Amino acid sequence: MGFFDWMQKIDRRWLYLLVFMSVAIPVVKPMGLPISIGKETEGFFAAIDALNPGDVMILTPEYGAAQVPEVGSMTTSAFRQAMNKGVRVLIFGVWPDGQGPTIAQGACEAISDELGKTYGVDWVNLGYKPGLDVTLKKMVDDVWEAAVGVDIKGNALESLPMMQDVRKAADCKLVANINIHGFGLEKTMAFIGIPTGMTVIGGNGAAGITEVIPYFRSGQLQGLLMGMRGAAEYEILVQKPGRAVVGMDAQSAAHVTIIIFVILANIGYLLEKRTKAAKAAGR
Amino acid sequence: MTTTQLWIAGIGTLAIYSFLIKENPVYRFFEFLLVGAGSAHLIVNTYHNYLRPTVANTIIRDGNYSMIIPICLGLLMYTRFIPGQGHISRLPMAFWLGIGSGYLLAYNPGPFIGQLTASFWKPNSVNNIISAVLLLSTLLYFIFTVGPQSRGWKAYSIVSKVGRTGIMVALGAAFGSTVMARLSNLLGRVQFLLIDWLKIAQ
Repeated sequence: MGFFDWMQKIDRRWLYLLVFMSVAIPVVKPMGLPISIGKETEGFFAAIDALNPGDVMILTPEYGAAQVPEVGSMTTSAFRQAMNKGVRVLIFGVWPDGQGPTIAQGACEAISDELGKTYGVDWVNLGYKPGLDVTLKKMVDDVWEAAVGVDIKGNALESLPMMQDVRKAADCKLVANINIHGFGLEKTMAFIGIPTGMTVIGGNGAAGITEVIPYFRSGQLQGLLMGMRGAAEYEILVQKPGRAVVGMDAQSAAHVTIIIFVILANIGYLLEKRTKAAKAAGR
Repeated sequence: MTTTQLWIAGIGTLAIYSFLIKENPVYRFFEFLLVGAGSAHLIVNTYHNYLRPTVANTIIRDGNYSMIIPICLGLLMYTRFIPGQGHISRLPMAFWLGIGSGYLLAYNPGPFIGQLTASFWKPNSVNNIISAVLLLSTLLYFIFTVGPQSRGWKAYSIVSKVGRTGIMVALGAAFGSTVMARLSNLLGRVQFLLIDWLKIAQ
């Protein structure tokens, strides 16, 4: 039995183990591969950087716990950039799993404390508000009504100083949607960006990138963070390298491993096909 | 996270990954635990953040009694559990579909029109020319009303194949991106196991 025959019959659990090792080893022993900054990430950074201190931006973290490694740092980095710039942040989520704003709350509280910012004055989290399209539309007309008058902690919006300046979405200057599917970013554009003329930027999990990248190319999105790679680039731009930057080595190693598997599998497939054809011709 | 939370999350991660070796009762238990916790989170979140304030603030405090109508419509959905009365649940469903269709028709053209106008490229770069060729050939591939005789045209066949190649490239890119996303999820768990839980990396 040749090498490729053996490869065709190998127990797939060995492949799982190799992929796991290719991810785990660079986590323990990082290689420090260079990371260049793409124009999509630069656009995202520049859009927040162009805001003035005191402006309000909307940040919508629309993902569940499973997607935090990939897109979680996009939310925290955008929040950090805004806080450093003196831009106030309004957080909410409408995506049905409802976990994004809850997950973001803890991370944003830590950053807020670190930078000496005050909840209710510099930022507010309205939490998860069900209704998707209807709620997004309502945010454009009346944020208070869409939020049914309370934030994620159950505080009345009347008691939060920042909310006195935010009655409708158009009172904000920019909307940043951090999502795992392209679908959420499209909805943000359709229901908030286009009706208000507000600048729209987005961060997407890699699985949804091919859906949303045309919106950046067409100029409908001012900036786009693409998967963990985009998150790592953005962490570098906000000068706070975190898990995404550390993870780039592991991701590169895993990609190389999978590419090698794909090449070997295709060679094996072609050889097997040729052998079968030769046998058939010999009969 | 506290030490107890770290250990629960660590053991839970290993239990879920144990499925890769073999289906087993520990995996099954943690799978149900995950689904249950996720559903419970959504219900509690919706209740505290939306339902309770809607009733307490919007209806009782502000006297906006019209909100009772959608609540009643929503409750009608549960009539499907009453034998012989299930058809009533179609009323709120019809209302919901109508609202959804209306919103889609009103708002979805916005991003789409932007894409349409952005597809009028100037033929001043290789990328633009490739994009224009692939756009037109892909559109042509999806013209199903062309009769079998016309499908025999050599020119149509060539353009159609170019379109199909473009679709395959797009699907390949989408698949590659999906693999990248799944690896990011794995990486997140590996970072949790090695850095946060076992503390054998920084």
